[in-house]
Amino acid sequence: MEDANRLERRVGMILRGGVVLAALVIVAGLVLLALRGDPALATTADAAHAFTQAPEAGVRFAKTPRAVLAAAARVEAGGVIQLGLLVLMTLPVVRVAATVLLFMAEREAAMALIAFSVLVLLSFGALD
Amino acid sequence: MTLSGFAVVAFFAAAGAGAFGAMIGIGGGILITPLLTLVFGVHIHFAIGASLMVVIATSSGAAAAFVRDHLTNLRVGVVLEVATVSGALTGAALSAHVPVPLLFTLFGAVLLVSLVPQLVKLGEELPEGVVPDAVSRYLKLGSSYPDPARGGDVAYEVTRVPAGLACMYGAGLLSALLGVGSGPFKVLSMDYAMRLPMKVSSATSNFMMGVTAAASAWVYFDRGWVHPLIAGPTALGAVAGAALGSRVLVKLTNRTVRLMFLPVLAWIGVEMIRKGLAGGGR
Repeated sequence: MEDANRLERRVGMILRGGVVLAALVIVAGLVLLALRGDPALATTADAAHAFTQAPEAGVRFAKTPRAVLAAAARVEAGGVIQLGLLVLMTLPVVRVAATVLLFMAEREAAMALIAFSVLVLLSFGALD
Repeated sequence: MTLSGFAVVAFFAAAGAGAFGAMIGIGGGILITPLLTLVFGVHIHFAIGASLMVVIATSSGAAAAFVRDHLTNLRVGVVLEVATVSGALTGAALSAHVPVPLLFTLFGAVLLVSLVPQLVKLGEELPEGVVPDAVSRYLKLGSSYPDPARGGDVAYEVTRVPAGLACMYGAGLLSALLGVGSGPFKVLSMDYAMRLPMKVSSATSNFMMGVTAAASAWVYFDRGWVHPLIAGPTALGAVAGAALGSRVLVKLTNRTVRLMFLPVLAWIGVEMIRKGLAGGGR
């Protein structure tokens, strides 16, 4: 029970640290944007106008984690902001994975299996 | 407006929504979409993508507090996540086919329903005579929480798990469809179906919100609904605003003061419905 508590506390710290990390990466991306812009982010110079169109009308920024990594590696503002967003979106997955480990450590097979099925469901969303 | 100009404006607007939400005790997520669509004319699909990022950031940021508060029921949370995440995946698949005006109408209706807990106290502080059902007994869902007012730990039981799961599936579906945490709906099903004590149900619902939002967020990211220039500054602003709202500014615990803001929120809900009924937003 003590171990479980410690694991929980550590997970809580990792999640909070993750939010801070994501925020820093997003800020870095926004600074890049202010310094050099990013043509992939809008179809017209008027940003507000571009946002009124449906995403289905065609967006030019990366849509897969692989493409985001490539854009971030090219130090493109949009790619860096998206990298921060991906860090954010990974945190709940980490949270559930940690819960699986937690119940396994407590030898709670049924609860570990339920937590694992949440993880599998989450991966359906991520990998489709 | 330039791209970075828009980012700055979106940041401060989201910070305002986050601070306001924290002060009156309503999720920041439900204010972000009306702000982006009604004020900035952002397409509702981009607004939903951005709003989900706000929900994930808020829920993950609060994760450290959950170990300390001893209110969150981790076992109940995980069991119900199976239903909310399934509902969210269904909602994400449906959302591409839901007409945009219908999304506006539905959003407005959900916003109005979310105001009900502000008006009347729902649920029971500590339900009496709850008999756990078979699932609850098997998974040992009952627990206890510290209540200083009663002096020490208070034990409680959990019942009607299948009904709770069904409600949570609906909450997850709404969460994905509208990009909100749908916290009030989760609290309703946990309070009424499963009869959890009020403090436990709201803490557990906050705990589940991030995981539920992540399920649809990954789908929407692939679909191009998470616009970096909208979602990035909005998520930053909302989290900063919420932190400011709950720490620096005074939390408005006074019910009378809170009630003064209700007409504003109700008006936003009505505006969303009106825009939807007028067939707007396409």
